[in-house]
Amino acid sequence: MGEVLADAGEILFRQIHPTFVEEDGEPSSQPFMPSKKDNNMLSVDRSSLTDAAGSHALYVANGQASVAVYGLTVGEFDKEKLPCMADPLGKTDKLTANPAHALAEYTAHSANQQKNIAKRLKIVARARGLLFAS
Amino acid sequence: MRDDDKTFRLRYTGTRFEGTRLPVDVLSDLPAFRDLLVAFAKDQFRTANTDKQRVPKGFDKSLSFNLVGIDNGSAVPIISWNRNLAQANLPGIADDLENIVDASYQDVVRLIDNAGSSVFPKSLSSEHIRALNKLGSGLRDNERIEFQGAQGKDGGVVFLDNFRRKALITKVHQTYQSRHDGTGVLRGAYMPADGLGYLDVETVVYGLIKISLEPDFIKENFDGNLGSAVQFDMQVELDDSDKLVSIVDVFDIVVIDAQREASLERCRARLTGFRVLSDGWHDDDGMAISEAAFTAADRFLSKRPNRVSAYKVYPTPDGGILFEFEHGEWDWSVELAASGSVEFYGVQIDSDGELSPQKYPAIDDAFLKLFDEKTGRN
Repeated sequence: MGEVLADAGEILFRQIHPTFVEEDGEPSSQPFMPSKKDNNMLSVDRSSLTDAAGSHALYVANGQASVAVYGLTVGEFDKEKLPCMADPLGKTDKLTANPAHALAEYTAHSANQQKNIAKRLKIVARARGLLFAS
Repeated sequence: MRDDDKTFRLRYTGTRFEGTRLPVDVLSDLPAFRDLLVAFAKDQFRTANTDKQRVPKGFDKSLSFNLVGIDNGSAVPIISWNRNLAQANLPGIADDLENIVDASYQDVVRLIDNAGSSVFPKSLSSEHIRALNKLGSGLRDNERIEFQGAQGKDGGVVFLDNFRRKALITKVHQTYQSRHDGTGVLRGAYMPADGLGYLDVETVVYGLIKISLEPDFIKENFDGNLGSAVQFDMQVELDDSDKLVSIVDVFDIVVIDAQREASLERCRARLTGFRVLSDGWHDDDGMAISEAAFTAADRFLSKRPNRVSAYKVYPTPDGGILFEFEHGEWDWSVELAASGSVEFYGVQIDSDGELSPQKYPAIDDAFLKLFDEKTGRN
């Protein structure tokens, strides 16, 4: 993993899987916490290196499903004691490189704590608004 | 006795039993023990074969026991299950029956051990209760039957004495009462000129039920509402299989307003949509949603439709279902695991308050109590 992200104002984009969006567009809190396979690290993309549309396009091109992009700043993650760090991904046989990739680290929090953290982050992200929708 | 026959040793303690004597008035305990074990064996069979209402013909006969000896040590009658006879009555399933006999014996032992710490089943069938009434009926004070080889919660051997017998017989009944609130669909309304009328209500939990009410009340509140959703709160009498025996009292029953009904329909339609999710639905991760989670979701909607217009419903990658909703200053989650267990948690929207996840084995009274405390009932 790379440098710790220090710009508290930098927005980090989070992709939302279609099943985590209700009919009225309301996102679930689940995308705002790592799933079991993520090993306590939440994948996001840095706004200093891409924009919401670009982040979404690359995510989908790499074979994953997303219908919405929400954003949280490094400072908002930090308020929940979730350090963020750069994690650029190189090109592989199957995946296009993603230099904007970063991670928010949840390891300091139990699975139970992560659930309410995710709820608070969803509220903040929703207040900022939907940044991209497909 | 064959080597592979299964034996049980009941040790009678007390001065009457010294010198390997077994007074004839306690011999009736042996068929009672057998009857109790068979009653539990039938439960075990039905639990393992939910598609069958009855045990197979020959099941009862295949659980035949013989008194094969009386050992020293006060008096220890040795009772043996006749595996040969089981093989003759139910060819091919003697191994299954052996497992059932083992599990049923553990049920008997657990029932009696729990009675020692005042833990009783909500109810038992009449068959269980008949056998319990006979088992140990010849015991006197300071006498007991020990189930040799069975260790109780206190670390000692499990035993039946008059204290435990009395507690079991007086505490365990064939039916019990429970508060039941939920929703259903109004299928019929009958208002006779004299006497009580009744509503036919189709429910998820108990199927079509008849709810007796005053005809004027029915006319005023339900006339012209056939097919509408209704919400009810009742005291019901249930048997040991949780089947409805009778409705004891009706505290509240109302037609659900059209908007709430539409919201319920929306949630149910969304849940139905989750049935197409197969393993891997979440970008190669994510398990198919379990039936236990669907059942729990139905039960939750049925029990607490009051906030349904706010409910947002999502699948979880673990094969469960997540309800999220805002009420007042709080954002709440009711998370149903693939096992059907429940977690309830939430955060205050504009401040730091939070309720950390509270776990419950099911949508049960304890969960509903906390849910109502936090979100209000109406």
